[in-house]
Amino acid sequence: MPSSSLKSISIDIEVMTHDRLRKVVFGLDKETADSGDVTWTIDFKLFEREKKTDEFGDPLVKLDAVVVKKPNFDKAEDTARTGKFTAAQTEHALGPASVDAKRFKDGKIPREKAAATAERTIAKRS
Amino acid sequence: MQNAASTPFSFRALRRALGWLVVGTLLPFVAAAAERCPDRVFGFFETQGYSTRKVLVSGFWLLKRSLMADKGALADLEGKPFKEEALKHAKANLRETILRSPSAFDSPVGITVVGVRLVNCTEGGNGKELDIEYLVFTTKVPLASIRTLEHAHQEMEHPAEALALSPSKTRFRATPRLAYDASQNFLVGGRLDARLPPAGIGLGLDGQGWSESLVAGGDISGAKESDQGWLRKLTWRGAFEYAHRPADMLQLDSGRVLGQLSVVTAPVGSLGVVFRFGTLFEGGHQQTGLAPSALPAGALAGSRFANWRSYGGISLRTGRQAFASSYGLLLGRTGSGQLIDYRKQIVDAAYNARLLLAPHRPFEVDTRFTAGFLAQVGPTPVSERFFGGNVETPFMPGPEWVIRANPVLRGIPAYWFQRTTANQVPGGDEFAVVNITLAIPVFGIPVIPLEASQDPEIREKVRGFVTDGASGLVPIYELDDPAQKNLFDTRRESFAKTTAAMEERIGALKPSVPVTLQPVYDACAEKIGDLAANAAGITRTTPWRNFLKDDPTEGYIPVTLQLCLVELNGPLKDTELTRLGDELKEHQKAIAEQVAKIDTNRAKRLAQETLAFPATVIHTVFDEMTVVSVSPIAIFDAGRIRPTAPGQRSASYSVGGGVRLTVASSVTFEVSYAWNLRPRPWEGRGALSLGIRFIDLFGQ
Repeated sequence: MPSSSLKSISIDIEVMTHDRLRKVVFGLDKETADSGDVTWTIDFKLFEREKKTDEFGDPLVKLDAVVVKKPNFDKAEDTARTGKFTAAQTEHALGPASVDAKRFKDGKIPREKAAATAERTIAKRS
Repeated sequence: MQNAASTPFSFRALRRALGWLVVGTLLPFVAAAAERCPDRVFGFFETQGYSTRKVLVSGFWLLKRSLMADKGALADLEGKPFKEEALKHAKANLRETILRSPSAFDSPVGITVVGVRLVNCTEGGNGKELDIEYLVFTTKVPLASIRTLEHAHQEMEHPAEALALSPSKTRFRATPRLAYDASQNFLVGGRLDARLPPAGIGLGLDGQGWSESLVAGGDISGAKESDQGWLRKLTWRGAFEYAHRPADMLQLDSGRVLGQLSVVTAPVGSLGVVFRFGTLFEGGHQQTGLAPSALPAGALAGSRFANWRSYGGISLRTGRQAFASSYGLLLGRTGSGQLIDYRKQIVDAAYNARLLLAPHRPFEVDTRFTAGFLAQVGPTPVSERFFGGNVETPFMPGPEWVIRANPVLRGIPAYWFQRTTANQVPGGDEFAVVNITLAIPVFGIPVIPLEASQDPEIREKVRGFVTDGASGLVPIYELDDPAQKNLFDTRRESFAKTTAAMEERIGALKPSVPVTLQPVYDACAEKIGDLAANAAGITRTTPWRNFLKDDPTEGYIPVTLQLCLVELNGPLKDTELTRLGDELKEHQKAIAEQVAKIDTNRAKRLAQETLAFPATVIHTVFDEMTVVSVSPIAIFDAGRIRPTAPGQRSASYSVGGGVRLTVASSVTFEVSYAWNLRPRPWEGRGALSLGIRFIDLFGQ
C-alpha cells in the first residue's frame, strides 16, 4: 500500500446518548511537519436538542483548537487510529468535559481550564 | 387483448437511448488522475509562491457533490496565492458543514475523516500552481434493519441513505420511473415522498401507467427504531390504491384501503438472525371484466373483499451473503356470510451472494424460491388467484420487507402466466417458482475514490472505527440501566446540594486557613468546585460511575474527600465540614451500591452488537461497492402453475439476459429479454422488460 500523502488529517468522533437528545463531537486534528513532527489539536462540541425529531443545529458549546500536550500524543494517535473512544474517554466526554465546556460558555471558568478538561479526555485512554 | 409478439418496439431507438444513457451517466465521473506534489509541508508551497488553481473534494460522489455545491470558503481559495491558514480555515468549514448536515438516521456513534493533500503542482506560463484536494469519508452505524436482505439491496442502490455516506435530504424526494413490458406496454410514473418533521411521518404518492395499465395510490407511514430491547423496529402504514392491469383475457381491477404494522426483533445468535412479523387489514372492491356466467360457481368476476394478511420470517447477513425467508397467510372474505371464503399461503425465500473476483467487480448471484397455495372454501374473487409473468406482485406494500406473492417467470409478459389450458378459469391456485439471476460487472467506478479508500491513514482510521472493540459505547448503553435512572431520580438533587454546601463551606473557611495549609486548601477548593459543578450539571445522560473514580486529575468524590476531609480538615477540625464530609461519604456509598447494580454485561453485549456487523459493511464500501457499474446479467427461471388438466404440463422455463446499469443513489436501469422455452399458444415466445428508476431526482 502506498504511503499517505496527507499532511493534515482530522477525525471527528460522534457519540450520541441513547435518548438521542445529546451528542458530543470530539475532533482530533493532526498536522505533520517536514521533519515528521506532529501536532494535535482538539475541537470539542456539545450538541443538545429538546426533541429527537429536531435537528441538532448549532453546538450548545464548542471549544476549538485546544492544543494537545506532547505527553498525550501517543494517546491522541491511538484515539484517532481507532476512531473511537474507550469507555473511560466516553464517560469523561459526557461528564466533566461537557460540564466544563458549559461552565466556560457561562463565564464561570476560563477557557484554559475548559480546554485542559477537554484534553484530559485524551489522557483517559489506558 | 394484446399480443406480446405484435407490440411495436424499436430496438434501434432503444440502443440509441441506451448509448446516451451510459455516456450521460459516466461523464460526471470521468476525472483526470491527480499527481501528488512534493512531500513537503504546506508552508513550503506558500513560501515558494504557489497559487491555488482548483479545489477538489474526493469522497462518495453525493457527498462530494453536496459539499461542492455549497463551495463557499473552498471556492474562495481558487485563483489566489496559496496560504496555509486559508487551507486550514476551509478544512474547518468543511468539517463543520458535514457535522451540520442532516443525517439519514441517528446513530450511537459516527466518524468523519477529512484529509488534505496538494496535487498537480506545475510551473508554467501562469507561474507556480497547485490544486488542493480534500479527501472526505463519513459514515454512521445503522441499527437492526441493516441485517435484512432488503437493506443489502438498498446499500447497493442507495448507499447515501442506507449507510449515511453523505448527508441526506430526507424531507422531500421524487423518484420517477419508466418501464416497459409486453403486457402493460410503456409505464410512466414514479413516487413522491415527503417527511413531516415533528415525528418523521412519511407521506407518499405513487403512480404509473400509460395506455394499457394504471396503478395509483397514496400512503402515510412511520417507523420507530431502537438499539435496545427485543423489539428493534416498528413500521406502520396506511394506504389506498387503485389498480387497473391487463392480464391476457381479463383485467385485474381493484381499489383498496389498508392498514399495516410490522416489527423487526433484536438479532439472535452468533449469526445475528433477525425475526420479522407483520399484519395487515385491507378492504375494497375488485373486478375482472369477465362475464359471471362464464365462470364456474365459486369464482367471482367482481366483488367486495376484506383480507387479513399475517406474515413472519427471518433475515440474516453474513459476509457477502444475505438470506431471507418469509411466510404469509391471507384470510379473506367476500361478504357471502361465511367467516372465511378463501385462504392463501405464500412461502418466499431469497439468497443473495457476492463473490469478489477483482476489486470493485463483485460477481452477484440472486436466487429466489416462491410458492403459493390458494384454498377456496367459499366464493373467491378471480383476482385473488395467482397471475404470474415478468412482474412481481408483493404480498404487502413497503420497501423495508418484500415478500413475493406471484410466480415470476421473466420469459412471459406480466400476468399472462396463469393457466395451463385455454378454457380454464384464469389464474392459478398453486404455483412454485425458482429464479436465478447472475450479474458480472464489466465496468465499475468505486463508491469511495481510490485516492480516499487506498490512503493508508484514512483506511486505518476507518478500519479501527469498526474493528477495534466497542468499549467506548458501553457507557452509552449503561446510561439506560435502571440503576443509573434510579440515581438520577433519587440522588441528583441531594448530591448537588451537599457538594454545593461543601464548596460554600470551603470558601467560608478561607480566612482561617494557616499558610502551611494553603496549597492543600487551593487543591481542595479546586476539586470541590469541580465536583459541585459536575453534580449541578448532572443530566439523564451523565455517567454516575465517574464520581467514584479515584482519579487525582478530576473533581470526583475520592480525591475531594482525601484533600478536603483528610488533608485540610484533619488539622482544621471544622465541625460543619466534617458533617458535610459525612454526607458526601453517604452519597458515595449510595452511588457505589447503585453503580454495582448496573448490568455491564448487557451494555457490553449491546455495544458489541452495534459495531460487530458494520465492520463487514464498511469493508464492502471501501473494496467492493461501485458508484457506477455496468453488468451483463443472465436469467434463468423455472416454475409451474396449477391446476392442470389431464395430459397438460404445468412447468415453464425462461432463459435470457440483459444489462444492468446502476448509478448509486441516483438511477438504476435494466433491460432484459427472456425466452419462454416451452410457450403455450397465448403466452408468446419471450418477453422484453425495461426499467429505469431514478432513486432521487433532486439528489442531495
